[in-house]
Amino acid sequence: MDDSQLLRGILEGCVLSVIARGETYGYLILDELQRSGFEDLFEGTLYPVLTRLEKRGYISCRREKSPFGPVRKYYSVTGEGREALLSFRESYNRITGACEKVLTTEEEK
Amino acid sequence: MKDSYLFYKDKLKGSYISVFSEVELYVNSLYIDEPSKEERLLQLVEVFLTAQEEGKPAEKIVGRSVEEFSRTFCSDMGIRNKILRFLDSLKVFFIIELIFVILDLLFADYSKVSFFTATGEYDYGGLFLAILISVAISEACGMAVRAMMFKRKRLSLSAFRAVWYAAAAVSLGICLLIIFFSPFSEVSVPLWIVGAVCLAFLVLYFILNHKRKKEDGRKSIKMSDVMTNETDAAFANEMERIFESKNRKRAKKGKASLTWEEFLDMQEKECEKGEKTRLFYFLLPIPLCIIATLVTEFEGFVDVAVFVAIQLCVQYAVMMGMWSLTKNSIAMRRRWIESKRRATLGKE
Repeated sequence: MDDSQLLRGILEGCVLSVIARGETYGYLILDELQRSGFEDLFEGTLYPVLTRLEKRGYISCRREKSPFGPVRKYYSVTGEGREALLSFRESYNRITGACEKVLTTEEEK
Repeated sequence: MKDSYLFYKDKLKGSYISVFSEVELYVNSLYIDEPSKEERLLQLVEVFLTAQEEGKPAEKIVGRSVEEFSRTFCSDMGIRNKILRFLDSLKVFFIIELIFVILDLLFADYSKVSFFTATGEYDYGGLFLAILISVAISEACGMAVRAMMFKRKRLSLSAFRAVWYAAAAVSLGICLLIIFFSPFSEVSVPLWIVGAVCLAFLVLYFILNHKRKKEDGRKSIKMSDVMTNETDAAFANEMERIFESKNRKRAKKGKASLTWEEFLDMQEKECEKGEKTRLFYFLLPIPLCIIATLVTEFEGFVDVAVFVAIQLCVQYAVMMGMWSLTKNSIAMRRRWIESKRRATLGKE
């Protein structure tokens, strides 16, 4: 089964969760997610997610020159973003709980 | 141009250069507004520099397929960016048309503008429409050429410009033929409606551009800075192609190949020659004005003075426009020479 469908459903929540830990930037978010197990996640997928989250008002962005010269975007979560993250966690726990039951029943059969 | 990604692109090394160039080619092949392209590529070059510093391979950032990465990376740039691109190309024409309409409303003795037929009096509406249509057709042709060029992995500036200008000339010619030999009866539109349409366009453009600037976060976006990015990238490809072509010809004649140093010195001399033409642009209007004055009949000294003043204003405006194009071209060549020298020295 293709993982991309599953990934699409949870990626925004995971990115929001990483940003909620503290102000961060794109490269660090990607690094954190890859080290957590999202090895097939790349910058190309991450950037549109960050743009969507910013447009919805879940994260705010400030710009500052990076040590290498180009301007770097630093992201922080907003109040709305924290509420969205809470809602995502509840939905995720509910869905994975139900999924676990179905899959466990399937295995027992 | 300090805030442009091109300034930092030269700091990339190894596989990061080739990967970035491929993504850059893809982004430049898209029909989207220039500031958004600039912003996206600036973000990417920053991530690449960080990863490069940490010794991460480029594959860890983009994955196995650069093309797939490019598509996903730009997947959120949709219809709004295309509209902005189209509006960017047309705004000058609408500004000029609005100025004409305001002047006509204040000083002219007619209140309507003619479209589709040339009445010989106040038919600039038809000309404006013809220009608008030809720009729209040229942009559409440009879109098709870009997509083709990405498939061939080459953004040839001269080929792209040739297609754009050919499409503009042919479509403008057809539109003018329709206007001057039109079987339709005159369609006159009140000036105030034409003005209102121009104003509506410019207000829409202002709102979208303001939103774009706010999202970009920079204090101001100089279009002249941003417009250089795509042409600089295409110019660099063009120069590589010319260098290879020259060396192929030299090899056929049994001559030694040009080194990059020699080729860059040749380009430097081209820039110096180009800078000397500045005097030509400043002096040419004078003899042209003298000739025009001598062949025209005047009723008095005031007539001559007004004629000479208008002649010089119009001619100098044209010459300044042409010099500006030459100057930008020289600046682009010098930027490329500088970045190539740095890249060549870095390899050594």
